[in-house]
Amino acid sequence: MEAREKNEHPLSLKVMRLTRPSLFSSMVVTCEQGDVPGHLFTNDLKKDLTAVTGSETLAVGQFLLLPQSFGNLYLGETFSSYVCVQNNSSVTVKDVAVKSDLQTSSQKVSLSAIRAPQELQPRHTVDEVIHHEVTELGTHILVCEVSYTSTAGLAKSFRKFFKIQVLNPLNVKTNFYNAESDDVYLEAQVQNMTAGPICLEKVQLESSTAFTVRSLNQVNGRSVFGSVNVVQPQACRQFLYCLSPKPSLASATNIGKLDIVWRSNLGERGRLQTSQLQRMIPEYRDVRITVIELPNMVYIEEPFTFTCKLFNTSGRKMELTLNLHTTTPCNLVWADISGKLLGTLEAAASKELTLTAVPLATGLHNISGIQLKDSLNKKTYDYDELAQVFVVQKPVAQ
Amino acid sequence: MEEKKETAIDKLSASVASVNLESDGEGIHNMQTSNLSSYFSNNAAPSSASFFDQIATKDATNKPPAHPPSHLFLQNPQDQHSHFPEASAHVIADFSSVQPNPEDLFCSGSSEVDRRRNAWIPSEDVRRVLVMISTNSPGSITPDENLTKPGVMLEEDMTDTVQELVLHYLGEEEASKRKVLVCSDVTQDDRGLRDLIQAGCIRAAVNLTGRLLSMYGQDAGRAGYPTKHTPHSIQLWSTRIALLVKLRSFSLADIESEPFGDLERPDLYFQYYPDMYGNRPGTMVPFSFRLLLAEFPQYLNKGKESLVRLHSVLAVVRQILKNLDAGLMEDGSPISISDADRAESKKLWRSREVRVLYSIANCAIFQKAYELAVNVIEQIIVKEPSSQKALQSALGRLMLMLGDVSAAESFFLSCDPAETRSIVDRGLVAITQNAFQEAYEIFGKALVKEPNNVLVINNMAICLLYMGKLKDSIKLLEDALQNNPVGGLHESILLNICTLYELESTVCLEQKLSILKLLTHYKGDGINMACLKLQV
Repeated sequence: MEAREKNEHPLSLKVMRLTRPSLFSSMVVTCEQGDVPGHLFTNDLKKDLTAVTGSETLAVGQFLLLPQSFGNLYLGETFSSYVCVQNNSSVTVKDVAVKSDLQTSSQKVSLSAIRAPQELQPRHTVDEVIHHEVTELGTHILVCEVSYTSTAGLAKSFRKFFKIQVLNPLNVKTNFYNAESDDVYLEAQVQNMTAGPICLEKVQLESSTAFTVRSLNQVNGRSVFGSVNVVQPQACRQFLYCLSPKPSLASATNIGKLDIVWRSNLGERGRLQTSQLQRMIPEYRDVRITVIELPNMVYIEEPFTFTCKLFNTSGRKMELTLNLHTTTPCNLVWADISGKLLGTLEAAASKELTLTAVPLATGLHNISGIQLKDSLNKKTYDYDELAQVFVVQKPVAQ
Repeated sequence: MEEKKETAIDKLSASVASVNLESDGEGIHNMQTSNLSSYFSNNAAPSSASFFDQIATKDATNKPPAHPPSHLFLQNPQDQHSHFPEASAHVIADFSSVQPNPEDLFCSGSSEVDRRRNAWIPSEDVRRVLVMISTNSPGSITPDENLTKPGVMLEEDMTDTVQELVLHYLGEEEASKRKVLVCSDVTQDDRGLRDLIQAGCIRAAVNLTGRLLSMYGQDAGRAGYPTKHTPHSIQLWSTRIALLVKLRSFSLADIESEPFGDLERPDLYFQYYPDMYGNRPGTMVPFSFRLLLAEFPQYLNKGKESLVRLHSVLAVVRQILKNLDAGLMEDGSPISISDADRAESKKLWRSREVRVLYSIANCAIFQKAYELAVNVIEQIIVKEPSSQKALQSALGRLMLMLGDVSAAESFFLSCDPAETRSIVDRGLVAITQNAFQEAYEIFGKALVKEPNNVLVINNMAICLLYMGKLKDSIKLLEDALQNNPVGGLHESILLNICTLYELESTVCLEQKLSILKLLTHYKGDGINMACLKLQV
């Protein structure tokens, strides 16, 4: 392609984005021996320079093809480019220097290595490969400036501007579930917003010091997402983590950060970290009850016990009395003493309490109807839907 | 929305070397559309056009296409078997006076080989039509079903695009040095077709299929007219469409293959012509044509359609295998065949089953449906254990295409590390880690084993570019082309070298023209010239 613009400079500047090359494979067209072309199509495939011995009819090659288009650039990826300045004239050009900068609305980053200006013979080139890890969304402008000394001894330069859009590669949504124990469950939904399928190489929750993390995305050492680690465009993946707070930091809100590394064609890599994830702490009243022991599954019409812990989170001493109410619909009845005096609970102190209940209906039911009365401060606290229990029929004895 | 942004970037940054070839620049595949329009607008070389017209007028359009002229039966003596269904059809005509014994299908002259090869299970609708025909007196009923009425859609001959570019850029003298076969240089029969294909003159071969089809009244302008099919006429269509696909002329192939539909048409079965074939069962459609038409939609971005069609072909193939295992004939008829015959048939149909699986895998790969591709390739490994090593290597590379390096490495574990193929795979892994220097050295080891392996040289050149050594990269590729013009002049490598030329300078015409000169001498007309990125 000839230069379209009249170039009054003896030097030309060309820039090519260096995304990874792709694996090329020829079109597979075959026929059977009994068909008119006979062996010819198969011979073509075998002789083809891009064919791989033993799998000529499979379109997965070993031949590297250079990128043919700019492609898309995503936040978290590394932008690499080849910058080439050639001397198109027939005389040597002195003091040739190339400088590349990447400009965004907020900053200007220099991408070129600092080099002394050099002399450029005719047809010779100054080459540089520039890299930049993209940390901002939106418009970026690559500015390449070429400076040299003209034959008349004047310092001359020209610049080329390349507009680049940086797009958002992933959509991350988080949901928190505060369990009846102090644990917090984090559900993170990662959606692929790029134009092609990606491999999620790493999705890790780096928790703040307040929690210990357990990843719940593997069963028996194998990923729950199947044997091929691929997320198609617009598809989502849900990750589950269980965070247990360190005992003294039960009310911490800083969960941590999600660190995501993804790959696409031939290992093209991107990395993003979310900002600090915050959870809403449940409103803790003056007396906080957490369930520390509870059977998941119980039999209908058989009593079961569970243990909970009472925390006095207020600054005041309390005198507590326990009242138990039956809720409607009546799925669960108490088999315990209501109106029992629990005694004094100092500020910031805790007390364990074991209760017994009898389920009257099968299914998943809530434990509700616990009431604490503080006679010192004349306050009443009601606790409903404290936890769930699954009630089943007892199997018939043989 | 992203597409629009891409073109906006290109308009602003005119100097970006990696220019989109078309507005949606996805590589070679989309180049064909602009070239195709040039076919229709170009005037064909006068001699071929007039010759073509003569052939068309030789057959009066009202005459039903009779058996083709006898010189076509001068079969190539090297051919084994009675491959060419045409031969058997001719033989059948001689025996037409003999009333075929309904219990013995093979007295009509077709062999066991043909029966096995042409077996197919028609759809319910088609089967009903065929039964109707066989139970009535021949010639009495023409069911008003969808019949197949194809016709060549290309009004003029395809031209040699290499020649055109040479003429435009290098002048008459250089153009006259080009010696390639054209349609009229070969015998006007199947052997001539093979000669053209072998010489790489694909466009000339397409032209020849057009002329040969005129003998069946299916040439230009005949689409939509009632016609009779024979195994040979359908072989010609199969060859023609296959050649068009090789040329990536997808729109033309689409228009011309449209009359064939899904190939479930009664007039594509032998039973439709009881006058000619008696009770002989089976389809005239070659299996490879069936596959080709099933694969075809993916090239028009209708990949799901391809998967559906390929799976229905697979279902019939598997049913045929079940029938054979159950002691029946391929199409389920309770007719006994010899053990040797049955064994041969099972061998044939099992190999066809594997062939369909390869097509499905390719279709999945094309659409980046990685899970399906892995699943199908693993099925192939079970059925074709001899290709296990090669396919494990391919699975590894499939994972590299996805970007899952650890999965790739576990597939590569089972391959022999000393083989060239495995060395190249290791080089590709280094590239995924952005270690181009290391990849260059690994490919270098493969080059020591196979010094003339152009693929390895190409990969090394690519590494050089990413290491900042453009000139060295170009030199390596240029030397490879000079030393291996016959094998090395491939569209992919030319695309690479022209991309490099355009990165080096705004003035790169001279280098491209040297390549054009190489092409003039060494390549037929089958090459897609868009790879040179020359403006016509």
